[in-house]
Amino acid sequence: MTRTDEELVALAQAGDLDCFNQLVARWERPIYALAYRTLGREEDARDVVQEAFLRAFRGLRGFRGQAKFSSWLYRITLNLCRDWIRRERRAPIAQMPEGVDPIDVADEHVAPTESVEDLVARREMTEAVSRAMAELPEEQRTAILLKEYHGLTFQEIADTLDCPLSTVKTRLYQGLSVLRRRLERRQSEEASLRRATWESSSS
Amino acid sequence: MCNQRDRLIGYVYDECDASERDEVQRHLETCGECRTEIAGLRSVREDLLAWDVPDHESVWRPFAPAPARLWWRQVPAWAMATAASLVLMSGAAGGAVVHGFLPDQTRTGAQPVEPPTRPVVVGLTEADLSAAERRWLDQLNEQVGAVDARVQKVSTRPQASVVESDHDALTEEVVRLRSENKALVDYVASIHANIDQIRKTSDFRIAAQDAKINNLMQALQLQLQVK
Repeated sequence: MTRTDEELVALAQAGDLDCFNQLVARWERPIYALAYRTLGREEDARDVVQEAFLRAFRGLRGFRGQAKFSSWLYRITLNLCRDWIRRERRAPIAQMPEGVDPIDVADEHVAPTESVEDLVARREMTEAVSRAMAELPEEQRTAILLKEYHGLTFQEIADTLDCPLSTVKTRLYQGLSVLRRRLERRQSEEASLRRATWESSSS
Repeated sequence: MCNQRDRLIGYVYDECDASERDEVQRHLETCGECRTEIAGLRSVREDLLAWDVPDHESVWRPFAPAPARLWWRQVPAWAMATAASLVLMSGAAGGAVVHGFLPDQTRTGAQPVEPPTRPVVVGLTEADLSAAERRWLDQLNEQVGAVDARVQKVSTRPQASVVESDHDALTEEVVRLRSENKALVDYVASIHANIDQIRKTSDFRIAAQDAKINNLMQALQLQLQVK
């Protein structure tokens, strides 16, 4: 029988280390995804994940279940990410490093069912989304991450970020609107570039 | 700008009640501006799906499980008493048996621990590790001390209470006692292994930071030479 988070937390608080291991196994992937999308670097995300679970372990006795265990973990992770960004004194970086040609990367990772062109397009979209997200104000970016990639409700986001429900809606709306404008502008610039390339090659 | 826009986000994420949803739908039939807005929000949500997270290995080394159940809570009081008596009769002190299997360092939690020297990345310091190690060892010592106290207590009873027919049961309990103590020693060893693992990870990361600093210094020197 699969135990709920609450049951595992109670057993872990009573000293059952294996129950804490099970909580880590259950939540490591989402926590890594949140850290990765917030920081933009795999190495940093791994460090933050390890530290987040260590902090959760150390703070487990003080966790009284006022919020869901997952919301508590998300909050720990986001605080660590914020500290990390401040300490490094830099903005989150986008996924594709400068100077890397997506076609070179795509050649190495193409799946049998996907053409190289499709893969390049997908990777370019990934890069565009990650760059646009990295440029958003932190509070808007975090609200979008928790909503889009972790499926939290407005109320759960409000609890995690300790802000009113209406603020969550505003942040989501403003963040998505800004993203939309940036991604549309990018698509229009790409279309212009393709047209210019086609015209120069045909003349 | 349409004044209904603040309700669109709940509609897009389907987090509004039925009446509100009906209201927004009726509004969309007459407001082209909001229809465009809804289409735009849905489009950007689709774009967001493209952002994958690369696969990664687990970064967590699971804790070793604790012993299933402490042995002295499984042994009935009469067995405890007779086992202690047998131990006394065979010429060994009860505490010696209990402690005989434990390495010296596990018995004295208050032993001085190497003082913290360098900080470990992301807030975890040698002092934290040493404190955790001390806490664990103190807890174990406390448990062992509780066993000692009980053994001493029952061992002062008159030995006449031990009858011949109990000898098999006594032998069995002593074997079990030895086995449980072995489990306790293994548990202590696993805690040491966990702490070692955390230390190694920290050392690795410190080395990586050192390498980065060296690289930056070399790059700086090169730049200075060029200038």
